[in-house]
Amino acid sequence: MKRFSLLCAGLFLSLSPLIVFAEEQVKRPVNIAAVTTFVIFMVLTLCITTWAARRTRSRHDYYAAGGDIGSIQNGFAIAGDTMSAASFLGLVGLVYLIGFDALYFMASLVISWLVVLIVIAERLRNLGSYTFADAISYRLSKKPIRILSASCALAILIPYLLAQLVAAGTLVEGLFGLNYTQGVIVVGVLMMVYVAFGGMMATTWVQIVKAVLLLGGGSVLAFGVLYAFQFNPEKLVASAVDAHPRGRDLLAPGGLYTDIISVVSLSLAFIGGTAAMPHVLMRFFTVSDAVKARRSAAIAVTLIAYFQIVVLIIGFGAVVMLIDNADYSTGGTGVIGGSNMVAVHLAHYVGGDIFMGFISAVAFATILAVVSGITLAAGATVSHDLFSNVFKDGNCSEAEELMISRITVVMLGILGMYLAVVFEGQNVAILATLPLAIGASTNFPLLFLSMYWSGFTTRGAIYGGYSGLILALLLILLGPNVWVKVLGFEKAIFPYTFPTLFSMGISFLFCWYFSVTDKSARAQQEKDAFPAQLLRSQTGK
Amino acid sequence: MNEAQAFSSYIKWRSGFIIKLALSHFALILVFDALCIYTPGFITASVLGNSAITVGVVYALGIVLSVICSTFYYSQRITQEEMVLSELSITEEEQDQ
Repeated sequence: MKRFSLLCAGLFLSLSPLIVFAEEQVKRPVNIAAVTTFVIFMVLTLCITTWAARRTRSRHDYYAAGGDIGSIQNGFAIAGDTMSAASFLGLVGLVYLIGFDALYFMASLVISWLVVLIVIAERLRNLGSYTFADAISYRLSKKPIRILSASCALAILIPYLLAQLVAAGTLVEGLFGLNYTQGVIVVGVLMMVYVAFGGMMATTWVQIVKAVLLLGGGSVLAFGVLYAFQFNPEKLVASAVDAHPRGRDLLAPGGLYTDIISVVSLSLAFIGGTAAMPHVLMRFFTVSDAVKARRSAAIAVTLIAYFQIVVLIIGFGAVVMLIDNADYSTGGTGVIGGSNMVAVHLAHYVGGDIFMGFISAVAFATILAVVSGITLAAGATVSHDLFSNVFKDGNCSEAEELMISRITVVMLGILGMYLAVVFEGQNVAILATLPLAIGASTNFPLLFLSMYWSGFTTRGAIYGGYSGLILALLLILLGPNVWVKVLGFEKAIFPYTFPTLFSMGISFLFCWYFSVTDKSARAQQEKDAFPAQLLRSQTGK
Repeated sequence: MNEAQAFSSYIKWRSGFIIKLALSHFALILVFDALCIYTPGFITASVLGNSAITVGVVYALGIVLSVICSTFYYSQRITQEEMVLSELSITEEEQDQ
């Protein structure tokens, strides 16, 4: 009853910006379908949270949904985590604006999931309990490795959370008529309610509902585009080439990147970074065994690959249907509300106000579901890795750990909302590149080497992990996204957007060098423990 | 072959299988990147006569399809190997009894 009352309070708090908005609606255009769809989503997900809150009693329930999630559900939840607003609205916008270079992102993203399936999923499930640090520290020194993993995880999750909240605020201005701050508050409060009360169970089901809506909405949109071209992809592509100001160059590489280092760095960032996102890796602990982890990864790969094809069709369709269309275009490839609104405008063109409202609400729900996963992972990192295993040396009660996790979630939510309001109107491209670059340069080498290389030691992990983290941060600071776009200098000291080729390379090199030169007794013990770890990673025993 | 030997050979086979699959896809994406940068003329060439669809688009879709096929193949193959292993384990237990 107490929890139900708290959830009702959460509902009221999250709806309050909408109530304020209702009073202001005379000033702004309102899409009733968008508001209705989103309110239905919100009520449904809060009911799920109430149900999940009743089932969440132990630490295992809170972090890992009691291991009760099935492989199909987990596959959808993982796919939902990957199908963020950036990979839907952003990629459709990129295909529309640039064309071919969007394929670099799509191909790398899909391959990264094959890497997760075959290299990471099962071993991670067998070695860990709640966070990926459990797997890395399995045979290595617990404290320094958990501090390192937590530093890397938070360096990924906080900018990612902020980027999503800023995107949410920006998105609602165009979609619901709410102002920026109200949008941030709606997402922030709902996110805190889902995670603090429902833990992983609620977060997973919110993600599943959103993934189904996004896949369904995207498929209908792609179907609408193909229908207009008699289901002939060649006709679609030819019309897009004719309609786009770049003409035949729409299908030529070079719209964004023209050198091999940039392109390879981008591919490595997507492959390694996506495979090392803490909130995604955490999902492999929600299934009961490694076989289910494998199945869920396989389902996720298939859904994500399918979705990339859908995005490509929508992007090309948008080129034909929106360019020079006075209802949506501001001239050339410019569209009202910016390139992130391309999918939403196309939905209006294909299905009118109701379908546009549906796609808008799904886009907003997408952000909401992803930030919930991020916040839960950050809470688990602070409570499980830092508080319980580092500060308390593992001598911490479940209740105490859960309380710390929930406090972290609320504090992170408030901090995130505050920073998102401060960052209003700022260029947040940096916040989107940081998580991928850091993930690929720190978590990925650490996870991969700890699970596959018997010679890997704590010393190698510390030098390799911190060097990757520092180098990635430094090169991003000196790169075009911060040095030029944020700090206003004329020319970047480091010329590439993604530093991954260098930072990931240095991280692997240092991990290897400082491991092979480690002749200490502890290093020998760690190497000797590898066969037992290998057996455990393969069998779970 | 007893259970321990079978398990050991399974681990070895599986590691090789994973490495081959991962490296082949890693090579696919690196070749794609290199072709795009160094041979843009090839990437923008039509796949068939005057078709609007180019080699680059087909290559990228080929990567996506390859990932989907590899996913199914990997899942099916590993499940099959694990079944063989578990049958061997049951047989040995029965013999022990």
